[in-house]
Amino acid sequence: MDEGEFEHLLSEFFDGDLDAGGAIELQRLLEEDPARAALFVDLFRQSRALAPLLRPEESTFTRAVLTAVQRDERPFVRDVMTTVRTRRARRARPWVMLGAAAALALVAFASRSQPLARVVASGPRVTVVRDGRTLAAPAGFALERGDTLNTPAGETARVVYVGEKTHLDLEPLTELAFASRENEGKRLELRRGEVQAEVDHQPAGRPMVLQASHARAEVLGTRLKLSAVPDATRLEVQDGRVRLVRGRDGAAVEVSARQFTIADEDAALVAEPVLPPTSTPPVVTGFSLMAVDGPVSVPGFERLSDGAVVDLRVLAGRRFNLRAFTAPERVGSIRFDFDGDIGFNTETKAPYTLVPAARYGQSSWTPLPGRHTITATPYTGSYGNGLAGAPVTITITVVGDAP
Amino acid sequence: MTDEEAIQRVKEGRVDAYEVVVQVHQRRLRSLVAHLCPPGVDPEEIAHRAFVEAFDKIDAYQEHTNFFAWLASIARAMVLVELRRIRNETRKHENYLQHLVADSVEAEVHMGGDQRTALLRDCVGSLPERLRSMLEQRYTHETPLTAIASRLGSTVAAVKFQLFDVRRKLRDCVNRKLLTHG
Repeated sequence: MDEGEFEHLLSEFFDGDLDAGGAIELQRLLEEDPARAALFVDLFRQSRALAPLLRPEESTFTRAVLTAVQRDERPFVRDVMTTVRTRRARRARPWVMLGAAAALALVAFASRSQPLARVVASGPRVTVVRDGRTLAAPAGFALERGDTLNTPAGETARVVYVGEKTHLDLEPLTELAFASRENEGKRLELRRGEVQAEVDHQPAGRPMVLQASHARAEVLGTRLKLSAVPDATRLEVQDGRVRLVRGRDGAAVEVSARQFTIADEDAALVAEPVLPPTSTPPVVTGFSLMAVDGPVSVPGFERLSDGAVVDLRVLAGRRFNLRAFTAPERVGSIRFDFDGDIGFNTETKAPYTLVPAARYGQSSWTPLPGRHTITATPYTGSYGNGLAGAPVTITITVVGDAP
Repeated sequence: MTDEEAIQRVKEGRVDAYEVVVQVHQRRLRSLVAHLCPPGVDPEEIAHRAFVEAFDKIDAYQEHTNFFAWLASIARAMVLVELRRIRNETRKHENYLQHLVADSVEAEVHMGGDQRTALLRDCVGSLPERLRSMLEQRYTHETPLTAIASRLGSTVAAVKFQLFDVRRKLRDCVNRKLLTHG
């Protein structure tokens, strides 16, 4: 036995890249040599201990703030405090339920017949719904047909298919369901959130199918990112080609490497180039009232500055929307907050408008008379992800009757 | 407020003061528990439950003794329950890796288990900055290997090799220190 091959398998295991065949081979090698088993045990325990050990000290405040976005110690403290307060208030015993969930997960893990895929990395609150029961899904958890994997806020999960290199990365607040019947092939339903997939070459005529609210992606072997929100489905392809089929009318588009498309209720289904990565935050340069029958500004409202007055009598008979301008002209997304409603709308496609067409079945904005505050925050990524630019706020006063 | 003062306030019924206790001890406890738990047992949950159990039994804690030692004994008892459950399961072959780790750590749980994590901390501290940064990216931020490779101007294969190498160096460093310090 070549020790180099053993070390390669170990390395793949600790990097979460070991496939089912490799796992069997690794087990065989560990069973036949106690020295190898001792090395594995030491490295396993060391790996588990490293994450808590490597967290920044309290004194390195700046560094901690910078890293807090990715991983923060405070949620752990908050979780404990939440449980403590709940126990004090209700005298309940939530850990019993947590323990039961973990035990059920282990029983399920142990009694699986033939796992479809395996969770290889996950946060402590990641769960699987199986036959109506909610189970904890730690690393090593075997996924079966019909399972639904859920990631909570602030936690992610990685899933690797057994016997191939296909893996899926679930972003926080994602719900992903695995098809329950074998004859459905490799079919997944993204009910909400975002999943990044690196899909191994699939057999001809049997693509992996990722179904979301407004469309399905048919994948033969590629790297992609699929996002599902109530209003739309967004597909971004990093490598290869993916066919996206819109649910409502069967319209399809081929999306190539470094392209994306959005399927929603009204817009044309077209592939567009992905914005190149940038380290410069985008900027909101201004606002206007935009005519809905074309992306041109309503005369007299080409620039809507803070404190502007919008007289609806002047606009009588016109349908319009509020639009934000950005630099660069195309950004990943813009989040609009409206009269204290944080996240009133997030637009991923230009022109960036306050009121989305799909949400209300119309693309016009009909404000009530009075003062309104609008804040627009630009992002380099879709749906408020990536680097954020500075929010820009304007307050406008609407007078007159609605047109 | 020190953790002793915070504990005193918790005993007086000030629940919020327990937040200070958790903040002071959480990293060390999570690291200890992570080091002792076999696959399939969530160390975060054990640490969480240990803190909650300590809160429930705070009146039993004797002031001016070592609070962490008391907290760690609660956590170790919970780990032992998990280890025994795993060892009593008959599906040893199916859950081989779980049994392998469980069989290896039980004696250490009885002895304390904190020494290895303390030595590991020392060994990480003596790593060159580049390697320590790579570990932090991988273990603290869970940065994908492709992103680490990109940041370092390297390849994924090279990063994998370096990560494995540094893992092994850390293990050798801990074992060497254990021999030196007894």
